[in-house]
Amino acid sequence: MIAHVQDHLSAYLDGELPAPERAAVETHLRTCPECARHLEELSAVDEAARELDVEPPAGYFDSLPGRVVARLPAPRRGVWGVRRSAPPSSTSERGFIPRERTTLPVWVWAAAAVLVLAVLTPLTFQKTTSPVPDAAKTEATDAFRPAPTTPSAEAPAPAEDSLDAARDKAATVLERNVAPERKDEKRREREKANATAPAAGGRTSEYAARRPPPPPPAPSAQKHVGPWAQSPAPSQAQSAAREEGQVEAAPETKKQAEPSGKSDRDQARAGAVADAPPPAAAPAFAQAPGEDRYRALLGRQADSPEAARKLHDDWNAFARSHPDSPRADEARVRAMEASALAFNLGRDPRDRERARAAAQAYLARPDAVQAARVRALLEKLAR
Amino acid sequence: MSAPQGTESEIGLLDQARGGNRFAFEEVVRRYQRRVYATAYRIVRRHEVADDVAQEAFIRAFRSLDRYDPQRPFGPWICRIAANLAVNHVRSPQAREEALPDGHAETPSAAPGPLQGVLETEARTMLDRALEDLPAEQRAVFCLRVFEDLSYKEIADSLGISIGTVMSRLSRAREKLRGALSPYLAAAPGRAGSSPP
Repeated sequence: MIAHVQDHLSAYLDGELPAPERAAVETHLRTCPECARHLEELSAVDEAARELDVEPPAGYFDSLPGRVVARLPAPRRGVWGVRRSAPPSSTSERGFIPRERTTLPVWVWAAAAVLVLAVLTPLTFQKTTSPVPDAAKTEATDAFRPAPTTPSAEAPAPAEDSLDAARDKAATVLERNVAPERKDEKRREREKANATAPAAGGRTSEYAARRPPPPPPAPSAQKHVGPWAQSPAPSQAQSAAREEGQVEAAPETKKQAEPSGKSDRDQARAGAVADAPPPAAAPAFAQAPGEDRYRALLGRQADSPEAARKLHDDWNAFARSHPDSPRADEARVRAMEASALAFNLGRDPRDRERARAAAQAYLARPDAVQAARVRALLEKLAR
Repeated sequence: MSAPQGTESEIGLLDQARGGNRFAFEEVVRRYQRRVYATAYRIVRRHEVADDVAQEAFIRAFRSLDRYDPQRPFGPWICRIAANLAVNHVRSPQAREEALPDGHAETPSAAPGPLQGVLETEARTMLDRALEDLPAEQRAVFCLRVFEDLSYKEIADSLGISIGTVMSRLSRAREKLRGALSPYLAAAPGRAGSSPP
């Protein structure tokens, strides 16, 4: 090959040329400084490109894992779509992953109750040995017995339909997924070198083996923590709650770590109504932990990007340190609003991205009670 | 952290995630999110899109864990899923209609790193812009080869194109980047030391 071989240098650089062409290129390179220089420059381009790094807006990687987990499909193995609890989310400090606790969604219990009533109620009133006079029996039946087919047709059926649809959809998606392809040893070595995780090998199984059976958790000890907790970094409060989450509840009292109202419902469901505190009709703000701190934050004004960022940090710190406070939700929303304010004041796109990421993480929470407010914030940020 | 420990831990995490443990998978996401995001961003060049791609890649990986061979490294597997999603995006009519943002104010920027001292800031900027100016198909092939270290056949299979197309697109991409960097490459004496295979 007499002519220059520059068209082949890219493939030659990658070792992808067939043997005859590779030999020809090598022969040419020994006698052509121009092509040799060209090859070196192509290699340099690769090296320079590899050294370019990308860095997303600040705080992005703090929220991404939680947002991904919030979007994961419901487990297909559960009988009734078993929902996962929200225990500690990071292994960075302890190095092991807690076993998941599960609970059934409220609608499952409601559907089950309707089904039980639908079956038992007619049977009860149709007993021939009942001391109730026929007239009274008829009256009671008419008053309380649902239509014969109504309960089973209305309550459980939609649940089954939705589950079937979800399973079908998941199966379809699975079929469409990209099939994993095998990698060679060279890439495996590179993968090892790229691993950034803390060393935690073996501790997971060790933890699972030696975890003692703990007593059922007291209602007051339940924390609202987990992957949905909005925090740039694992906080002390999360760490403490994480340790709690590693204590698995007895099977009959397994429940999702939820805000107090929902926990109360679960307790009632478990037959612990007598011992449980009455569910509060409204949050006890006056006695809420950190109420003074909360009010102080409410009164703070931010007239500069720096002040708004500090306010954001302080609201987030409040939410982390009082995750089970009735004020925590408000604190999370106010934190993202403070970031939006920082952006409005300073036009720093990192502030906007921080607010966006926090808002998206919030909307992914199962208990996003202020979703409309947060969506409105997102819309403002998009303008 | 030693590599064997990390690998052993990773296998355990993936085993738990395959069994449905979302918190184990969350840790997997935490470990690979930078790499997956970078893969997506280098191809799509927009943070918002790269974010969507990264999330979707992890979700698809979670759904496909039953098919994942734990004896193989997870990183290239998840990155290839992300790359495919990113390429699908840049091929979509919607992506073609979307203009890239002006400048780099709202997008991740090239961070100074080891490149400093070898290439000047201006050279980094030029390379970054040259990458951005590449046609999406060429950029995707370049990224899969240079950043993900895929073979031509793997790239061809991933993108549904022939090996010859991979070869030509990669060659054109490199030539364009070389053209953008040539003044700086000539001024970097230590740069020309890489040996051909």
